[in-house]
Amino acid sequence: MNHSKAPGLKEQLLAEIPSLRAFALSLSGIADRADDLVQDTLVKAWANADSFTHGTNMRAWLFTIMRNTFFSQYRKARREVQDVDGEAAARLVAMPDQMSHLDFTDFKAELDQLPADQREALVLIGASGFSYEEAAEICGVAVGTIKSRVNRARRRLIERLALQSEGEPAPDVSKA
Amino acid sequence: MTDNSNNNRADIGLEPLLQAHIGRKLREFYDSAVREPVPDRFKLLLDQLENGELESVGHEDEGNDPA
Repeated sequence: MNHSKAPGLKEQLLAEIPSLRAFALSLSGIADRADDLVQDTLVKAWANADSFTHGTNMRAWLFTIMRNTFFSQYRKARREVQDVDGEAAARLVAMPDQMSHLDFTDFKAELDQLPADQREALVLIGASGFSYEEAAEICGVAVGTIKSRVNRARRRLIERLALQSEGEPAPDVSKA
Repeated sequence: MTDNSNNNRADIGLEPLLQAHIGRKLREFYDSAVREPVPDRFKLLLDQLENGELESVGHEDEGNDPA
């Protein structure tokens, strides 16, 4: 019969679902869409199980499938990132007084504002625990490209953090 | 002017702290997503895949990319 899928594949996939959901949520930002992305990834992984090389990192393989799926959908959908960006910026500028300390009001929202390729690189390196080399392979780009995306993402988040905390009294000015 | 030099000094001192802060926030967000229980729909999906009920779906998506 056609049930000769790699033995244990189901269990291996099941074990990776929590990580897949976290990565999907990082990529897509919307919980429902993230779970659809997980579903598409699982179906493709199952259908293409032959292309997984035993002894290699299954999570990296699954993440590759997921991000390729996401970015091909993403190109088709062309979310209006520009508008969302402007709206969020306006909202943040309008209420700096409410920030009582140097922190993000909503880190997830800030993460979602990053360009998708930078967000992806930042998450792979900063949260998923992949090396720069692994992340480069997952994304199909050079290691240097991953490094520069991560750096740009970090710099942008720092700017947003600074923007949010603007308008507060400086924490420790020795004038009095 | 004095404001400017103050800002510069603050920036230099804050940068590593902000980096660390961002790193922590990122892991907090990601780890909390990882810790969420797996919804039943995925277990059902894997059962269906195992039983060959959804075999064809994975192949049909390449090739209709308009770009």
